[in-house]
Amino acid sequence: MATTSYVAGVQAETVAQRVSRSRAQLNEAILGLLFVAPVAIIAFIFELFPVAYGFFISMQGGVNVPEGFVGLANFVRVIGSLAYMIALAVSLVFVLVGYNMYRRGVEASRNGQGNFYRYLPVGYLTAFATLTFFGVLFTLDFSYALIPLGVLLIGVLCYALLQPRNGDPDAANDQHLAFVLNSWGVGLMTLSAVLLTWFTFYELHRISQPLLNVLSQVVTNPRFSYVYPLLPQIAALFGTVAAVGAIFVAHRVRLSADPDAEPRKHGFFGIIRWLFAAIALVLVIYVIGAQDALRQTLTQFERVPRETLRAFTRVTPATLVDTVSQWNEVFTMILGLGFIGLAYFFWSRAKHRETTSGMLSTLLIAIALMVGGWMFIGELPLAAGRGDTQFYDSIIRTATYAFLTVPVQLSLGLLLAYMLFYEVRFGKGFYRLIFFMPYIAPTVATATVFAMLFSNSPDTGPINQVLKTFGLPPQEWMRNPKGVFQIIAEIIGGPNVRLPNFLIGPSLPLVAAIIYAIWVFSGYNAVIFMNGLGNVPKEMFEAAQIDGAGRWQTFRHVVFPLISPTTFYLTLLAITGTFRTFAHIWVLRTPDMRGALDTTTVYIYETIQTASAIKTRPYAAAMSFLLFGIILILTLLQNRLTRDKVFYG
Amino acid sequence: MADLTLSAPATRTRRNISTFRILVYIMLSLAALIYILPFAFMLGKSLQTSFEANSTTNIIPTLGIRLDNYPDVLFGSTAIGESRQFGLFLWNTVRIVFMSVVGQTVICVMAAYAFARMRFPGRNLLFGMLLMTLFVPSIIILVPNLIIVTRVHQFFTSIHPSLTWLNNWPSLVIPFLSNTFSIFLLRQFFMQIPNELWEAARVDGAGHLRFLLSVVVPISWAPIATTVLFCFVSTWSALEWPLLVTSDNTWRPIAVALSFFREDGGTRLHLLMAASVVALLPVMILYFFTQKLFTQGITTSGLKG
Repeated sequence: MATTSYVAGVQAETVAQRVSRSRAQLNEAILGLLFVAPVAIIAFIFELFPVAYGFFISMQGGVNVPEGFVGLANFVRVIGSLAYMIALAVSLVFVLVGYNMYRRGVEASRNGQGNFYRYLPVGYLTAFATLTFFGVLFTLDFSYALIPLGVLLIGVLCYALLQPRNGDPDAANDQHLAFVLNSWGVGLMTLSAVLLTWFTFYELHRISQPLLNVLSQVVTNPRFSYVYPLLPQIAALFGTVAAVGAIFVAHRVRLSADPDAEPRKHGFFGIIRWLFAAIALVLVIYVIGAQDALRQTLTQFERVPRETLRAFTRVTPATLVDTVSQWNEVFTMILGLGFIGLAYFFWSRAKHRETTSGMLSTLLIAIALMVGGWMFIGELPLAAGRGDTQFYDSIIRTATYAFLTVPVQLSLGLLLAYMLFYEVRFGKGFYRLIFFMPYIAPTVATATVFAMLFSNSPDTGPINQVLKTFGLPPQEWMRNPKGVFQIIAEIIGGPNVRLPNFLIGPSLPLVAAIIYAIWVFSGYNAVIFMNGLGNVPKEMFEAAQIDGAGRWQTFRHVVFPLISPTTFYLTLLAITGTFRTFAHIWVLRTPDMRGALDTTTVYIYETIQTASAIKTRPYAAAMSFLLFGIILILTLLQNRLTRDKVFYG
Repeated sequence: MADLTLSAPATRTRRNISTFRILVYIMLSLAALIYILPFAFMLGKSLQTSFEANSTTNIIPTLGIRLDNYPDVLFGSTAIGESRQFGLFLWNTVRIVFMSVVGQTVICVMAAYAFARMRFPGRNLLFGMLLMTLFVPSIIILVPNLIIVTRVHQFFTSIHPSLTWLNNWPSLVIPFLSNTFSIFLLRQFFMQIPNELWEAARVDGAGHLRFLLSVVVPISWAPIATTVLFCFVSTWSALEWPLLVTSDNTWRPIAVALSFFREDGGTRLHLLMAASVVALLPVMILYFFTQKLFTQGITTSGLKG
């Protein structure tokens, strides 16, 4: 009797506890969401959504606000037919990422952690719904939004049904979530890749088809008349083959990098592989033939009298040739990239060859392919040359600025930090205060001062006064677009010295901007380097000193390797920072310079500010996405190159 | 949280103590001189007469100190233009900075607390979403944000004509209220608060909000102050966005006004420099008093915000 009531009491208590606990959890969940809501909403509206929206805008017409879809036209205006190439490359990246996700799921299900294949159809369904939903969002017409939402709901329900019921719930759930994400990702990546590729070729087709028609009527070339109606189909097939080939290459490269991989199996898949290779070869030959036909036709077109042309179209011959040759360029560049991918594949296989002759022959194939690919890519500058030269110049200017700023500011920062940290005992705080000041000070104010320091006036400009005291001629810092090395060469060797174009260096205004950036960021780097030096164990430093290492040796072999994470981090920050830099260049800039100081951000910004019918805001958005791509590639490249050199304790 | 270590290992090599160290001091002092010179130039020129500032190379005012430049700049004059009152721009900036700092601190502290110490559905997803914003350069979201703000502006003015966003404080403040860097910094700190404190508070009947206000905020004043400082400095110096959304003097911040004055400043160097000093001084005063928080915050995060 007593025991039962006791037991019942315990049970009642636990139930009450459980109820209160679940209520507390619910409260916490609601309160937590409320706490996060403002940040989440603002970050979504003003920081994340704009990225997608900006991409959408970049494919629109209109001067200030987007008005109507124009496809890749803005991108083509910036970088020529390279835009199509980049779109195709992006879809290739989608394919590879999708393949990677697929592989992860398949591996997990091979290890007996569930059945990934069952998730795939649901993944495609949900991905389809997601893409349609975003498409509907961007048309800003919400009347159809319910349909994709409904499909999305069905997908989510299917996922819920697929959730395993038995076994350890936590572990199974984890795998379930991974499977859901992977299958959704596979669907999303493949569908986006297909859509993007289709869209790219559709665009190319849409723009060039009328002119191709004119061409086929003006010039009678039997080979061309066979080829030209098939161009988009060939291109689509070609893209598919390239994607499958890329997956194959990625797969093989991964297998050859993995020593525990299962041995290669020949058989049915072996035959398919050969078949595939044969199809690819035929396609390549066909495409080269098509290209040749196109080129021939264009050459013949050059001889057609302009009056004949005028009967068919109002487009100028130059535009016609330009537009139609985009087909050639795209084909050539795909071929070139494909060759280089294959070369990489052979190169990575070469080291697994047992015999020397086998290795050499594989390497030879790789080198031959690489040379071939390079020759194809040689068309690239021509294709890109049709774009916006101001944009290219601004990129080169930005790169020059980065190349001259980053090493100097980093090494100066390290020097200052090293001296401050190891050699100074009094006034360390004072020096740090001074060196950090420019970084905190409002950029507009300090840049204004620098603009005055680098004044053009030969009599009152402070920097010119300094030059004079050293017996050098004063310069027009804020005006002269000549390269600085050219100017130095003229001072040393007389007015008739001419340096080659790639040696003339940055223009004088850009030099002023570089000096400003060094002034600001050396101090900043010094403060962060000091923190890095603080993490170097004292014992190591002292051990090196006891072993008789000099200052330089201690630095080179002990301190420098130990602060490599800081160096890595600062380099990354500096490089991406220089590509984003805006305020001080905007302030230093004057109309006098005639664009000598227009880095990419400034050029984009000016386009936004003074949007005109030619340089519209969507056009600026397109440029900003290209810049973003460059920053992204630089980040990845730097990660890749320095990963092995960074030493984390 | 890595502290800023100031104590260098005592490296007293017996030979060449003095000469090398003196050389180091000389080099550092030279560097410090180069660092200070632009500031000295600014201050010196701002105190000179028009003639001395524009026709000589003196940095130190020798023809008498002219303090009148400052009233000229602050309240407008014929030399600088009657409508160009840097006092007004300063006041605009102060208002914008105040709203940004208060708003950002409140919502970022709340979010950081929730991310660090509360369990709710979608926590990791939302945090991952926030971290993604760190990779987005500001130039890429400029055009879309301009259009979004214009649309919001149209929406609000259609409700009531006085609810404008463009050329008004909302467009200058609201898009920047969420600061991922601040949330990240605060979250790191909040996560280190021992759980015993929370248990004790809960036994005493406090909920999350109470715990946040009376325990977490008081003990983490230093990181909160750091984020406040960063918000202050970055809002004060902001140029890119305010230049696009302000079209007249009513809400024009001082950085934008100064960039315009630099464009047409011409031969009014003394006034230009005085305006620069006005734009610079509040930040510098703040920096001198809170120097340690700045350097600590920057070395732990490596970012300005």
